[in-house]
Amino acid sequence: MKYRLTNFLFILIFSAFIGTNTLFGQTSKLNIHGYLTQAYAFSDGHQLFGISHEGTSDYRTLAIQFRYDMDEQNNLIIQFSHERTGKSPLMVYQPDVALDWGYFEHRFTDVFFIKVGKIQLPYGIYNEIRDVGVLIPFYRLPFSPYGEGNYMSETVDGFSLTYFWEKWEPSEIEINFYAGHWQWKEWFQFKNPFTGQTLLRTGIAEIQPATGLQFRLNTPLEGLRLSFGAQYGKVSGGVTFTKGGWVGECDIHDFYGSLDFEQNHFYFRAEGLQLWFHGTNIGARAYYFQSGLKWNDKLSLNGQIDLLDALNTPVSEEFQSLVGAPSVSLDYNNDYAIGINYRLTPELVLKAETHWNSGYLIEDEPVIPIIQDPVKTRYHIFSISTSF
Amino acid sequence: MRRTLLTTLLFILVMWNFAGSQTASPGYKVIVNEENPVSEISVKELSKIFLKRIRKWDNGEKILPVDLEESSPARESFSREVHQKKVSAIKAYWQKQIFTGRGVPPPEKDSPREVLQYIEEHEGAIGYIPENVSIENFKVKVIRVKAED
Repeated sequence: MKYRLTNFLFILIFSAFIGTNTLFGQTSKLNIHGYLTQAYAFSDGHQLFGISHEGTSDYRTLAIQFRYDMDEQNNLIIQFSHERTGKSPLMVYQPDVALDWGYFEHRFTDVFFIKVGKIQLPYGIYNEIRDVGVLIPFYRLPFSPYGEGNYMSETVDGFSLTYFWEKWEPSEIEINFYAGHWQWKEWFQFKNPFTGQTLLRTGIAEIQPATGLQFRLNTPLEGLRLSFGAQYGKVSGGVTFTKGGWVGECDIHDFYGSLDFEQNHFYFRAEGLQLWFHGTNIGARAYYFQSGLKWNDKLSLNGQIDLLDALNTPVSEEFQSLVGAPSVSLDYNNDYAIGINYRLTPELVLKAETHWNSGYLIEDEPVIPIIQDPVKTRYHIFSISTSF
Repeated sequence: MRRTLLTTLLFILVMWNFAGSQTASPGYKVIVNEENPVSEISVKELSKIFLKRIRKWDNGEKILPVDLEESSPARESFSREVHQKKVSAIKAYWQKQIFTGRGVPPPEKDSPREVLQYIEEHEGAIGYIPENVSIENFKVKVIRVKAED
């Protein structure tokens, strides 16, 4: 009851701000913005990403951002969010209202600035806008490589430095360096093929120290942007990374690259990530392709192929007789999607999408990845997104 | 017959040219506070100012760009001529800037009169109004827009 009241109050405050942001016109030091995406989703078979066969409308992201410009060079930015993902097991870690990010920004010059606090990771094309429905073609970003809080952090607690290099206009290079600490949420469930025992495990792993570097290049070719980045950290805790755990405490590093091409009526985006756990041969490869046609300013058709491979997943001794190897590589998640968007205004978008999924991420029954074929599921999401 | 054909062709060419010149016509003029020493600006600088990529005048004064509301024909012309993009694309740019915490768009005014008043009240302000709107009785001036730096 308490949570419902909190929800209600938050949504009420959010609604009150819609349309009133002119009160805080941009000449004011305080600016307030927000967004909301509300969805109804159902699956044809298994439960996946919190979407059950019965369907759920407990599926939304909502955020409100306060930006205070102290003076020309100093800003304070805070964003709170409310997120629901139906029956997802990771909901246990999702408070009703969360601090998305909050940081102080100092601009040394127009092209060089520092942020200190809880900062959104400058990671790939989408991470910084991952929940802003009016800016992304599907309800959520591709699971690979953006995760859904699972083995992926959206923010860093620490600092970031950003520099825009404009020497070769119209090309421009944006360089981001960040360091601090972040967390991964972990979730998996597993069925012992001998005993039939089911294990459901959730946990939070710590990555500290953690650091990363990203280059984002606006090329001279109109609409073409490229980015490359790498991250490094020491991971411990959670389910998998405790001492003596499945992987154990270790160093991690990853490399990723993005290509984003957009012209008037067409866009194509592709991103890839390769992750390794240091001192082991365990890793993951995540990549996606996304493309769309804009019929006009309002109507667009979108397609997406989203793939995640788990590399050299260790097999415990008791199961090695079943697979005949100490490790296996798995097609952990393959998701193919098509969708249609109708943009009523720049700030109001309707989306309908269907996904064909094959993998081991289903949530309503345990799977045995090492000996079982990937499980196939189809799910559908209808959503409305707005921002102000 | 040949004369009719030539006349028709000429008419089409004239109309084509006329239509072209109509499309190319900016349909707006760029204005600043009359105290502002700037008398001309390049299209590239103008675009960067309205995208807040340039934030200060040469004299160190803060630049305060001001837009017309999104359905205004002058805004459409300005966006197409200066940013080489539709207003909707610029709106998307600002949504991205807002939600990555990088900045907020210039204020939008509902009428040219409000733009004129804003610029009169703020020394560092810059805006645009439809070409046929008079600036008489306002302490503002029109500046020239150069195609290149």
